[in-house]
Amino acid sequence: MGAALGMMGRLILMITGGSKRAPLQAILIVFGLSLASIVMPQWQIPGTEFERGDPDTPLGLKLGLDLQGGVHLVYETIDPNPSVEALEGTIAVIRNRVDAFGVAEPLIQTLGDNRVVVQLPGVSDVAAAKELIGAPAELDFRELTISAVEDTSVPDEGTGTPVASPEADVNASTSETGSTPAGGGGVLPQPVVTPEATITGQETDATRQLTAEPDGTPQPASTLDPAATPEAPQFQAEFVIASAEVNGREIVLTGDQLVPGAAQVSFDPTTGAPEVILQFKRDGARAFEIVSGRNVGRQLGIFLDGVAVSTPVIQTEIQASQNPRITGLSLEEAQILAIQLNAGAFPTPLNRDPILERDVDAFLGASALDKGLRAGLIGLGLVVLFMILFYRMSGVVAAAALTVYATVVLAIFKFIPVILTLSGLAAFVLSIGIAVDANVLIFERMKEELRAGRSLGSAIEIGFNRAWTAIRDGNFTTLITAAILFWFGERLGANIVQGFALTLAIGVGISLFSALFVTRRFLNIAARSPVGRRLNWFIP
Amino acid sequence: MLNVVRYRATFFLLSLALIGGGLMALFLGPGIRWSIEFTSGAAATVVFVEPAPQGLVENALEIDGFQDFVIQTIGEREFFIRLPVAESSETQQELVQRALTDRIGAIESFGFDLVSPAVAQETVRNGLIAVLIAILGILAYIVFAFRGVPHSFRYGVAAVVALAHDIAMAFAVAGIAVWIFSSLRLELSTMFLIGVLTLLGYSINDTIVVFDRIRENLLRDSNRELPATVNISILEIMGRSLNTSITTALVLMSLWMLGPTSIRDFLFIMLVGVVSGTYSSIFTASQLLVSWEVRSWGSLPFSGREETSG
Repeated sequence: MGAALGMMGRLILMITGGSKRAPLQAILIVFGLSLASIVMPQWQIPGTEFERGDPDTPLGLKLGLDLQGGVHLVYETIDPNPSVEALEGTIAVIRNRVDAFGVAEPLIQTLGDNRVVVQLPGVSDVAAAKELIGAPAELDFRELTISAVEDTSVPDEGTGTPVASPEADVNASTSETGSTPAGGGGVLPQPVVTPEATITGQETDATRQLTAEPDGTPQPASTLDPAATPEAPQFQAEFVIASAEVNGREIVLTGDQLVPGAAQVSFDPTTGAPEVILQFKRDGARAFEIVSGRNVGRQLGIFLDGVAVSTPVIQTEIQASQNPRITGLSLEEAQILAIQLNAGAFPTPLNRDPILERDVDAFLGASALDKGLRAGLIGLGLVVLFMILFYRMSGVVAAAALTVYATVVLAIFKFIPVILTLSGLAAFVLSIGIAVDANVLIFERMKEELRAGRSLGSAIEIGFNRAWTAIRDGNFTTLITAAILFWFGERLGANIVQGFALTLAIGVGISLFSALFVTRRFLNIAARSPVGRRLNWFIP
Repeated sequence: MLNVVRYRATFFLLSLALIGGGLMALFLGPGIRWSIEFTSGAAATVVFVEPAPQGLVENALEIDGFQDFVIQTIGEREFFIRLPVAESSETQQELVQRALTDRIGAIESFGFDLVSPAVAQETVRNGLIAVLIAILGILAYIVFAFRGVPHSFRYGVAAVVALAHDIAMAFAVAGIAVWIFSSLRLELSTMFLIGVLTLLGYSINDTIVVFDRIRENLLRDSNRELPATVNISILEIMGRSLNTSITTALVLMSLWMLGPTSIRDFLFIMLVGVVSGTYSSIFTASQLLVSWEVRSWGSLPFSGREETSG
């Protein structure tokens, strides 16, 4: 922190030509740029991804959860000492799920060795959010056992396929009908599973044959369906978790059998249709070969936590050397399915309940921001009034310097960007107090020198130099406190504390700059103007 | 010239009496509660569309089987409810929300916090570590910054004592204030902790300004005795100290009156801290330097005992 400040100081000295007397132009340029960047709600550098600001917030500042509303959750892994990779993997899974949920600018990161912080700004449905993140996600592949019975249940029109409803879990017994799949509105065919088309593979003949047909024309979904006609006899169909014996061992086709994170969306090279390709581990691939072989023409159930997420029809036996691919999906469906397939492979599982939960209502957040801003502005107005009352002309100078100060600090907040929280707001106000104190120290010293009979010009110089050590030491100790707070906040994952510390540190740093250059420069200008001849305007 | 240094025993006793009395009030009176961040538990902030009496809210929760909860009225429509962590925390929020909506009426907004015991324990530990490290860092910086004057170590220690004074004073005044104003509720929360840490920074900033003046006067006239130098420095710096605390207090008070209620714990600590910090720089830290130098606690007014060096 100190080094950064020193560098900043040197930089400023460089810009100002090595003199401690900053040219007015430099101050005005900095002020003008800062003002412009605040007034513009959003700005970016063309041709780059550099973009700052937000058109929807006051001054385009980034708002924290406590001002914007949203959910803050901290989870702990079940394993007390997970590996870094496993924790990162779990975070990637959560990020996938959150992205699928459609949250703008979520924050998902590790905290310590075995914790994960999730922040979802603007989310109000906490239960859904927790469900999304905390759910352990057990993925499994199921096959149908069909028995022809005189079933009286009503055909499940609309969904078409034996979709297991969440409540019904495994016993999702519906009747087989041949209607079109859900969502597609009849445009999309029934999804199918085929082996992946390998570009370099020698067995392309076989593969091409198999992959050539699924797209475009509506699948003769009848290839499978014994119930192609509505009048067909009804079947009692039931999905059970598929397993097969490989090398004398019973391999159950759960998410564990998938290569973690390998499921991906790709596009058919010829038709460009989206497809999902999954990759089994060795034993899993062997087991899948057996399962697919005995279920050709039937549906494969892909279940996440007992809920069917996809039920493609198996077109052919998929050999262990081939990766199964699922086609006949819309792009969106393919993307979600890939996420769900990957989500099944949670590298290190989390406890279902968060250890910390903070849910801020958007309304409370907005009103806190309104109130905080208004109160802060009124407080500042009072301070300026007090300064002018007490220090007259110097007070006016202070008011001008403080305006520059506040503008530059806000511009920096926007540039970094600092996420503004309630505590950050408090820190900002406090840093203004510290900046005011620097001015007070200078003015008091000036008054003493003026009373001792010095000219205004030399009173400013001497007053400034005498006040400087106090300003420097005072601000440095505050910086030390801010640094420790920052560290504390990081340990705690309390970005409320970190926000405070960062805001305070920036505020104090700029306060040094403001006292060193702006106040001094403005005082000098006032002294050389006609105002400077009226000493009684400076000594009340 | 006014001799502030001579009667330093008065100031020491005044501080001790206030801190002692306040801490007693803290333990005997209603006191300040630990927030759920430190004790674990759940807390809800609810704003109804229509005004509702607190009794009704209590009833609603009792009927639905909630126990050991504490309700605090913030506005006529706004309440703060604390609950112990239930077995199954995932439904607690919905249960509370539903109970209130069903039995009282539509809710405009609903915020919910939940902290598990493991996190709470860490917060307490980390908070204490942060304060201790901050104090050590400050002590080291002062000893370094004042290396030019004799006994620079004393300046560091005196500043830290003033710090401890201000933190103790913050708790003491909090204890007295919640006893006198029954409507005032203070919680030992993260915001409170931030307040204490900020107070640390403010208090040390103020002490350093006073010490800086002493340092300057010492170096300018090394023939003068320390007590006289401290006395002159204090009188010279008084105006600045007052003005700075007034301006800071102005901002804090406008935030208290018009700002969001959720930062009141912080504001309270800061308000006490600004007054106490200004006082302790002049009447505790500086006077301790004198006492250390002349090895005497000073005298009380009308005690008749005169000090040679004053």
